[in-house]
Amino acid sequence: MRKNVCFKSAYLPYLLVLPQIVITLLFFIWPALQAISESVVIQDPFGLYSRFVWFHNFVTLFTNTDYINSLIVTLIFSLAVTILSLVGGLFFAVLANRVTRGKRIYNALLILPYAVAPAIAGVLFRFLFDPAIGIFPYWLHYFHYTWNFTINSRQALFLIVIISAWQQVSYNFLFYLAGLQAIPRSLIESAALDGAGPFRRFWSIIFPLLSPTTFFLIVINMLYAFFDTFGIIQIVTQGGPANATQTLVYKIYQDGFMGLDFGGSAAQSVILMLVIIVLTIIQFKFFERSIEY
Amino acid sequence: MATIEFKQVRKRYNDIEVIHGIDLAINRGQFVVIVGPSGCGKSTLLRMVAGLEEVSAGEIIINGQLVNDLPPKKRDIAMVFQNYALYPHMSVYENMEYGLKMRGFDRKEIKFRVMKAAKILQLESLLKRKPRDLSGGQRQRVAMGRAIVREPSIFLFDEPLSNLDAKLRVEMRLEIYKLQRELAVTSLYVTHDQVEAMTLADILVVMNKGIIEQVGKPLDIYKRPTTVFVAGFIGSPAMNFIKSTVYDRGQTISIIDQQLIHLPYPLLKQYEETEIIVGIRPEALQIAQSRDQDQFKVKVEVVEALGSDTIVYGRIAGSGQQLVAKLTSNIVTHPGEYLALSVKPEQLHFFDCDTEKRILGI
Ligand SMILES: Nc1ncnc2c1ncn2[C@@H]1O[C@H](COP(=O)(O)OP(=O)(O)OP(=O)(O)O)[C@@H](O)[C@H]1O
Ligand SMILES: [Mg+2]
Repeated sequence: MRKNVCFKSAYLPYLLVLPQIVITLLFFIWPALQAISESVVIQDPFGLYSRFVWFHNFVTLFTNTDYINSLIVTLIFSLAVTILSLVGGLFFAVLANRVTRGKRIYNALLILPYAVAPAIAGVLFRFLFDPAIGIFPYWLHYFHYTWNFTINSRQALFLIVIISAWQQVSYNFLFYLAGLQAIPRSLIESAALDGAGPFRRFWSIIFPLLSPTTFFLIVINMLYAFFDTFGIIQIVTQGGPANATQTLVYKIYQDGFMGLDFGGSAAQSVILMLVIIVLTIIQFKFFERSIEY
Repeated sequence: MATIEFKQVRKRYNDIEVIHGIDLAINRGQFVVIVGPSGCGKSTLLRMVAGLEEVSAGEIIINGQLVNDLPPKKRDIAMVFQNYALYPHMSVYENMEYGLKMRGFDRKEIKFRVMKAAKILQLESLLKRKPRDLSGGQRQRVAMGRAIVREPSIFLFDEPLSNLDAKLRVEMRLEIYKLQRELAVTSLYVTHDQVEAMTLADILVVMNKGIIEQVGKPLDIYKRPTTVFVAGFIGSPAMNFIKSTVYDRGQTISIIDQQLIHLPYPLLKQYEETEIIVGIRPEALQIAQSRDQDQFKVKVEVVEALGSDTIVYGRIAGSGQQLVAKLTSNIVTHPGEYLALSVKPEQLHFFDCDTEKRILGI
């Protein structure tokens, strides 16, 4: 198949990509440059005065225990979310792939959480887990377990992990389901004839064949946990208690918009930008190694 | 080595029956080829033997044991799939050892068997490669290798050669033939390639629309097809069918009104003056030699000179019935010309118009 398209007019191709370029420049490149330039200055809250300080902002960050704490929280949080939502997604995909009757209903229901806005998911779970009126704390009470995520930092982190993973399971489910369906049935049947039981088949054939999907999803889920969970944290814990759920992104917001430390929060954004760039490069490099049947 | 027996085996998919009661017995070490048009249920039958598909009714018995509810891994069967079904993330060696590993063979034995199979199939230099780095023929060989290392009691093949080009297909056909004779493993082989069917089979099974039309040695089926379907399906180009009427107490039939052909034996009395189907193989037709033979004129429409023989498509003068003749290559003819063709009466096949079954002589 021919991949290159030839246009008669010399300008048309440029015109066609123009909107995308404008959007990228306006909403990505310009703010990024802005962040880089702000990360090397210190300015007062009104922007009237600013002083060039080289990498002072970065140095301050890494000597600040709050930032290190936030880094650790983010790592724990994103790893937990990624593992939980990957395992969940894979689990449901394997089950849904076996279903023959009412397949669409199951699939639709499993995809539903993805359609819920993060903030709404946050509110939903906040009610479910509310120490005073929530149903879960009520049940936990029977097991003599005291649940109060507003004062217990482990519980708070656990809660936002659960919410974030719950939302992301749908996404992973979709990709895993597509991945499972792309595996030719004859491979599984061949393994069955070769004497592998369902469990062996899964670990020696299906799971390795899904590895490109898994790898892709690990990167995507890390990115998700890093960046797209802001709404959930904002609604449920606001980074508390005692910064236990203050992820890097949430800290940027708090330092920049609440603390009005523009230089510091810009420096944090630059660091996060590097993280994204690295993750994206890894993804591009390895995602090409897909499997052909 | 095993015997396989089918007793009134049926298969339904959501109330639609696709296999309507198969009865068949296969002896130890036999190479049984199943042919039939697309969708007739060949793969389904094979997959029921493998245990990949449930049997809706009837019994499949392997080595005297009812296997209807036995899972695939307990049946000691190896199958070669049309798309080979090689594990893409494993090397050739790993692909071949997988079945042995799953069955708990020790490392030494595994290595011995894989190397032996690799030698037979000339895969020794490819053992480290992944399937995607192999040619079609090599993949096919790996699939074969994976089947033979297990030394199963039954081989199943589902159109194993259909993804190969013509030349490779011939090569692999010979290899499969030799291998099967050597290992003497009971084999079921599905194909819709005539040549494969005729050359490989000890026993040929012709299927159509979920039933078995005929079972027998390939040449017997070619010589005495029992139904119009089998007659038309086996042989290439396909047999000519001409509707004719029987006259003269079953001694003579007419191809068209004027052209009478004398029969080698009288047909059953009940067919006197009724219409029957006469089958003539294209290769049974020849240029008429002398005046006294039964013969008929054919107007030539298309000539295909293949070198080895010449295939002539034409119409019988008068009735306009289409006819294909496979003649020797020294015949030179052109569209529009008339040829006088004759056929030896004993090479004619007769079928009942209603039942489409072979009519036997008295
Ligand atoms: N999973 C299924 N559900 C419903 N019908 C099926 C299923 N699998 C096969 N069939 C039907 O069963 C019939 C036999 O199919 P089968 O695959 O055995 O044909 P086949 O003889 O192998 O054909 P081919 O030569 O094209 O491979 C077909 O009519 C097919 O549509
Ligand atoms: Mg088939």
